[in-house]
Amino acid sequence: MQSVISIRNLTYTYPTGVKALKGINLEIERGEYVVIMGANGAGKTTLCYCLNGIIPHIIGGELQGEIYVEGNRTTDHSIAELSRLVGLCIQNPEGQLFCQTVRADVAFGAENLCVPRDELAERVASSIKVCRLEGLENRSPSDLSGGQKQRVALASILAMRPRVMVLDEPTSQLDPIGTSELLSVVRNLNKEHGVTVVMTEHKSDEILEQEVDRVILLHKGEIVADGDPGEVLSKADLLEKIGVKTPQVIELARRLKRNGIPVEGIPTNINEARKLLSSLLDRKILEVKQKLPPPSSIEESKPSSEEPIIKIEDVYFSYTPESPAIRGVSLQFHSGEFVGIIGQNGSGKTTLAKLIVGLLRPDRGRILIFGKDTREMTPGEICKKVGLAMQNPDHQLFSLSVKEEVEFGLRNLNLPEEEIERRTESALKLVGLWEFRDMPPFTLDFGARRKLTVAIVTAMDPPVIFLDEPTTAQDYRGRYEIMEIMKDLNERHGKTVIVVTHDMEIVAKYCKRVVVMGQGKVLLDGSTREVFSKPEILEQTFIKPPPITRLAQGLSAYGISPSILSVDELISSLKFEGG
Amino acid sequence: MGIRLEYIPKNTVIHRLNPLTKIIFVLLVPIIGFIFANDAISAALVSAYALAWLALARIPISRIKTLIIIVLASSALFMVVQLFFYWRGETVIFRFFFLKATLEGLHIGLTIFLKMMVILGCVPVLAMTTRIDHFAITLSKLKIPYQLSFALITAVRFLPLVSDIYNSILDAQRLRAHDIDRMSFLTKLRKAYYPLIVPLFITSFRTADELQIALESRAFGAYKRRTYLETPPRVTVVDYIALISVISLFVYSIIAYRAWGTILPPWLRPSWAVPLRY
Repeated sequence: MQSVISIRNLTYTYPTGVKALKGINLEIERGEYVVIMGANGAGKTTLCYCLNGIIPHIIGGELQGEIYVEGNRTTDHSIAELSRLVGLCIQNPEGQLFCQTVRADVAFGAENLCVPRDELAERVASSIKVCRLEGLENRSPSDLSGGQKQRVALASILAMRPRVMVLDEPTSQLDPIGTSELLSVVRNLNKEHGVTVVMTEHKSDEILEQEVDRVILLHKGEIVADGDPGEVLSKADLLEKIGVKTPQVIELARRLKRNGIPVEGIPTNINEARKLLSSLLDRKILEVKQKLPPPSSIEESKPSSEEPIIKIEDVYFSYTPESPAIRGVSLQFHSGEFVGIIGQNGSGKTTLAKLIVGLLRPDRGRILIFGKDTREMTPGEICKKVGLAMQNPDHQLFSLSVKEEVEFGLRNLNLPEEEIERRTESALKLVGLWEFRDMPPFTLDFGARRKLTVAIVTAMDPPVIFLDEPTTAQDYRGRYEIMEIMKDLNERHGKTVIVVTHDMEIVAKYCKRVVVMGQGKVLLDGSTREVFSKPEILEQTFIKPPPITRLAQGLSAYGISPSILSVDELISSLKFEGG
Repeated sequence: MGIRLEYIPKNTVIHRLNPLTKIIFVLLVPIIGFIFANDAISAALVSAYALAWLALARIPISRIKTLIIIVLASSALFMVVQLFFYWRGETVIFRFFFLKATLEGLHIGLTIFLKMMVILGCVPVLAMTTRIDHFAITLSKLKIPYQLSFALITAVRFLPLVSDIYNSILDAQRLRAHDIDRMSFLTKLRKAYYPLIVPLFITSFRTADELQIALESRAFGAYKRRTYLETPPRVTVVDYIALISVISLFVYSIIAYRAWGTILPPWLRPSWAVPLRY
């Protein structure tokens, strides 16, 4: 059997001395859909770069072993030659579009390969169709959403007609709808058009629903598992060890088994899980305990009589007159709350955050922070009240050491030296970076840099901490570490925490209250349970509740509460035979 | 806010011109304005000619606001300096303490302002009405290597990316109470820009690396010549009319300049509009 990709004993060390891949052996067959998973730093991107010759042709380093694509050894062929065989789509949708129209961008790669014009036009048209970009041909890529941009990049590679498509975390910067659209295009490419797909991903729940042929787990540069997705993703202990999230439906099946429930096979999607549970419920092997959990618990959405600490009154804002970003938002935040703000990309979440911290000023309406209008304060004053940790840590780190980085903001506040010392130490200890205090920030890995930005914000000691998208470019473990810090700040230090995110499981796990935004307006505002039990409204802004909640909602006929937020809750709402 | 001279999709006479016509326009008209039009009336006529193209392209003023501000601000500076300090200035209009404002100074200041208006009219006409891929094809027809014209494309693509990065760095540092506006001039020089420049450099390099990886993955530079999907707008009668107007203005200007040192003959100029001598 001829493999499309054949890797033999591949070991690779970066020029910096980091050994990224160790003894990789891998055969990928024509038409396969392979997903590579692993924590940040496991070697996923490195492996992708090896497949199309970026390594070692652009990024040098030391490569041992052999990589063959369709029988061609990558070290013997230029990247340009390899690009006819392997197409690579990278993480950042911004960094891979070059032209001023979608059509021109889709044509770019094929033009470089000197495809004759008639064929070029045909290839471009079909790529645009497959990637569902019809109607956008003459738009400028910079006007598109992240998901659309990523599909333009995909179409551009597709027009080069490679044998293998390599996608490196293509959905990492996309919202839920962008993710599911992109994944469905990829699945269609593989199933209908027979393109071999190699993709790296973090989102295990989504992967499980994609009819993937094979999942490979990477850990510290080595392959630790390789096989059927259901089988690989049910190795919960291994997944936990290497920092890959166990999909909720598999977690559920495992928990049922552990409670002595006979579960045959592993459910790999919500439908299968629903069938499994309803058959167990029909056969009375499982029963539903009543009244657990209550549909909307009162202690969670405490109607506070005290004065709100942030009060947004009918605020409007637009970057350009044609497209208003915030259209009449009124919201109140009270002391001690833990709030999640959700909504698709472009729904106004980040704009709202910037308005609150004074980086932008409302066109109409006003925002009061502890009773004071933001228009009368500078961002430098507001940051003592509301601290915002922005998405990209590299946009602010500049010092020679981690400690100096935290001290920078405190010095700007003209605090006394001993106070600066004290706050720096406690902030760095809080995020677990105290032992790295003398290291240059840029030598830290991404997750640690992100934590450093949290330390920078908390050192300023604001009563409100605003976190913008903890999931961007973060693996599963990194996200939860940041969220645990937030939980700690909220519970032990009494901080009000507001998190903007696309990760619904994070919202379900940590947030007590959820604000749903869509097209610059607040669509829903209530306790997390209330909000997630209204899937029809969430759909308007292309949000789906976590898989376990959707599963529970599909079983409401059995009396299971539709507002279940976690696997734990679902398990504890069930009564086991004899138990 | 940066100067963003990005393509604005529209369907005007100027947009429909072949890029070559616009390239010739942008090469010749600034020469006419800067070298040949040496008095205020001539410079006013040339800048009116250039601004007419801009008007035909229907570029919204809001999109070139920054450019206008830069031109006006630097012209204002020139005007004031020339008004008081032009060394050939003789005819005094008024006095300001010990400074003498002269008519000659006023004229030279005005002329420089109008010359700059020519640039203001020309640059956006090429940059904001020509699709960069059409521009690249035209350059390749002129036998300019694709790598070179692509360097231009990348610059056009890369600059807005860098300007976005800069703005979000500025935001991030403002949130750390790094308040540049409130610093004194000396403090600013000493420490205002370091926290902005370092992340900008590091992030830009990273973005550039990424761009390179994406480019190479698209077989960029695989062959000396490549194919093109698009074709730039055909050369039409309008192109010929435009070219004739630009070239004849250019030829006339050379002749007029040699005769009178500026574009307009003396009998069409008021007596104060004396051509500048350098």
